[in-house]
Amino acid sequence: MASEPILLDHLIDNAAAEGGPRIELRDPGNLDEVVALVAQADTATVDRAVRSAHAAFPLWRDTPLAERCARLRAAADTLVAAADEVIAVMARESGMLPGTNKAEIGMAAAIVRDNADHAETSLAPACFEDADSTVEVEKVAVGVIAAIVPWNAPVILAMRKVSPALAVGNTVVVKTAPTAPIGLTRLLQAFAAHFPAGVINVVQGGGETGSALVAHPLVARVSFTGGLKVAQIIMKQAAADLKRVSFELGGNDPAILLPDADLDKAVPRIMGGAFRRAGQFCFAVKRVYVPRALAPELIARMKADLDTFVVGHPLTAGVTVGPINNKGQFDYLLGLRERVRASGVTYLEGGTQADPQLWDKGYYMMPALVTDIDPEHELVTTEQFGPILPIVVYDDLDAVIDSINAGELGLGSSVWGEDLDAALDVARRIEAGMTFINNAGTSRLGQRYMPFGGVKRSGIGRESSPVGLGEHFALHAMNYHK
Amino acid sequence: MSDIPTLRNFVAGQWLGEAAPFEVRDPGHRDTILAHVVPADAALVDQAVSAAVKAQKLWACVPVAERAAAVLAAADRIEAEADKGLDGLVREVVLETGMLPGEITLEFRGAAFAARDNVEAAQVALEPEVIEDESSIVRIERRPIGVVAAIVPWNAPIVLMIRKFAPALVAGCALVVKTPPTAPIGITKLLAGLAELFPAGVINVVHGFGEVGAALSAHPLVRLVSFTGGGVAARAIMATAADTMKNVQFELGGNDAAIVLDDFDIETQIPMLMAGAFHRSGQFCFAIKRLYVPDAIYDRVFDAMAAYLDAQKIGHPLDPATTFGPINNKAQFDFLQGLIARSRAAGAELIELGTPVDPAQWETGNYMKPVLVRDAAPGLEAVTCEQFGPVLPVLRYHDLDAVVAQANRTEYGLGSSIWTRDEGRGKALARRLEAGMTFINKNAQSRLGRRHMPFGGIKQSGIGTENAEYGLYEFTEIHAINIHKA
Repeated sequence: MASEPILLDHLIDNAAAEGGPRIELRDPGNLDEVVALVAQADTATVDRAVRSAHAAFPLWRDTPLAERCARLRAAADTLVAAADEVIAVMARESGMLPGTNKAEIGMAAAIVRDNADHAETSLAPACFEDADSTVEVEKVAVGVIAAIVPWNAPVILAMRKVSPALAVGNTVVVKTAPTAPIGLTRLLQAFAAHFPAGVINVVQGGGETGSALVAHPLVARVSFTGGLKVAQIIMKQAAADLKRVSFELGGNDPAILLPDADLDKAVPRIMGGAFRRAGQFCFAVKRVYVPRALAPELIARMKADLDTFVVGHPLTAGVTVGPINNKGQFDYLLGLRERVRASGVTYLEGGTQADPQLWDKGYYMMPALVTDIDPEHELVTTEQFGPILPIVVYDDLDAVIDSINAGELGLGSSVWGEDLDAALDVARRIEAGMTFINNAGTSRLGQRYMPFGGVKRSGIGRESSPVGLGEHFALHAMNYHK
Repeated sequence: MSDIPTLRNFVAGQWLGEAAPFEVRDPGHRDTILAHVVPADAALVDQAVSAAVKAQKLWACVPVAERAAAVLAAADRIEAEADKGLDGLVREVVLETGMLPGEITLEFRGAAFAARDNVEAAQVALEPEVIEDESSIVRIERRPIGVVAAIVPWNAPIVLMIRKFAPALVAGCALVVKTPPTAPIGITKLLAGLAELFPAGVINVVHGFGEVGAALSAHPLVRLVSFTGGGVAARAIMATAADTMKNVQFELGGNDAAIVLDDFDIETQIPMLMAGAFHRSGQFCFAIKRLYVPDAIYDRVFDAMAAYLDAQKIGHPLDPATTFGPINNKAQFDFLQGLIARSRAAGAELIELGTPVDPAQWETGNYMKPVLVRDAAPGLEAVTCEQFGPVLPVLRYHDLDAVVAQANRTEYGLGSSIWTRDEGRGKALARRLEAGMTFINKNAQSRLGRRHMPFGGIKQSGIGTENAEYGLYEFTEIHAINIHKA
């Protein structure tokens, strides 16, 4: 797999732009491999990107909605067409499987089309009239939006910000994640070609680059997906000039099985919901609650499924679980694993190693189920963001719900049971932005219409759906007195 | 003096607080102490939030129709206070704010409307949305966000409080209201009365200065800070709210431009234009802060404005002869005096108008005559700042495009107004202004506007909005539920 490192630059005015020092990006599945040398945008480069977006804004805002949406739809097609060219390099930078990346790009294209559709149905002004006056509430573009994207599903998460922003008439500066910049940049480059120069700009870099972007006076709004700590910093910075923010942050999403859960359905869906992307996604199932009577059967079936996992480099044939994306997260998970094992629980590892010779060269760990665990254990009460899943046995559903709601995270959640009315009643008691019933993610209808986001410390604002589009415009209310 | 009442904090139906009190004085007669107010300390703020948390869990389970009925009952009581006029709470608010009895009576009526309008908006906005296809169902439910800290300013304390109170309570939230230090009396008495309509702990009231606001913004169980006031405080609130990832909703200041077009009818429109700037002695967020008048009619408009203002009688709001009240507080008064001095020093032509009702009392209150700035230069501080008082710069223009550019060249974007009989021209111009709101031919909402206009600003004039369905959404969190059928 050895090849010359890619030189990755920024995208400003629809052209590759150098700026700032370069750092090495290594393959998390084989740290001997330098995948790219990535420029890190300094303040001057960030300023160029923001000014480009700011200069492009008036023209783009005044471009008719139908044309904005037509360009978005054509750009969505380009994403799909470009997918095969980037899924391997995405695997090498993020550790995610090529099939996962391909599905991600397809879903990102659907997100773009959904947002174009929502814009066409929801940007019309609301008008009211009586004998004395008229009221018109217009939805107006806000300017330059900073979109700060994480590494775990960069294309989907970027398109959740870029496509509604553009549909409304804003322009964007995307900051990629330091450990997954290549595939996204290549896709955005192809995507951006459908728009006037400056409508989409991309800067590479870490926290300093993000900070320069958030602090820039010409940025009107910051949309961030990532961790709570960074969000806190962004919000404090944004406070200085009262920028709008929206945050999609972590979760500690519970899967609650009810006594009538259908295990044939639930087991594969929960396993996928917990271990896809090696557990590295925001609304992954982070903990499972199972009634005592169902527990032995559930654990046996989940363990059997776990044993079929093949862990290794994402470009090795047959691999179903890739490495952890980065050293910080890997070290955290290793530490967590030690603490969990030392705490007297039952730690059930499963699966096989696809590349034993690579094992110590990458951020690999065997996926695991943890049983006989206390509901207040660290593994249950924190977001692990990795392939270690606790299964908590319960006798009292009310206590489970109280304990879930006592936490400060509230992104997703799932409820599993064949009586849908009873499952809905349970769902409605959970403090979360999203609850899935009998699955661990959104249906196609849900992708299009569910506002995606969390309550409490899992975020501010929503993405996707007409509600998510609404984060990208300001209201201008006009009141004419006759 | 023993007849000066003491105002404590209102927590779950109890009057609490033992800290050293501060004084509220009559801005029209500073020697008069209206109340001794006991500020809340951090422990009391925590007690208020804890009471609200406990009450909110139960209040959220009360059906929407029942919550709506309670807010509508509150609206009736507020309107009854307006009907009592100076025999009721209107008098208290007049004394503490310095605003005129007519202004405060209207404010109570406006607050009753705001309560009813928010209930009406809630009927639409709180209804779950259900979308279904053959394989799944999406339910989008709006849940109460939880405990809301409502931080309210002095300039229109009743209506600005009710704009938070009504949507919060109908949505199923509980409230901790922080009163403004120079106008805490009316709000507190009103809320303590309205609290009878709700379970104990749903409504709590705390007093104090910035540290009380900071304690509320920092409290981990407060989920939303809804603040009306100034940008400096808003920045501090947002930075503090970041630690606990709270939602914030801010309605802040403006530097609202009014643009007169050449078909302006001097005969009929001057009083409305002047009210848009000088109502409440200019102390309201969406007051006209700068006025652009075309060269062709500038002198006639200016003279008519001057004549209108010169007829004003400045005095104590309870004196029946008064048409123009004092400035609410000494800090704002001093700022305005300084602004006038700096504007004069910069060479601007300032014209003071109106007459004192009682010259002997002039120095005992925060009195000032309204001021017009003739031919104000675009860069003058009085043009670019939010003066929040009766100092109006009047700018002469030749080129409307240049006026639009000037109007937009500010970090503010709250309100704005256009004055023309030509509806099409007015609306086309309105669309070019960067503002949350544009009023045409009256710098205020119509009855329809109160119900349907989201009230708030863009840029640094605010985050989020109040009123209408959009305003109600600020007090909710979405819970989206996706039912997979197979």
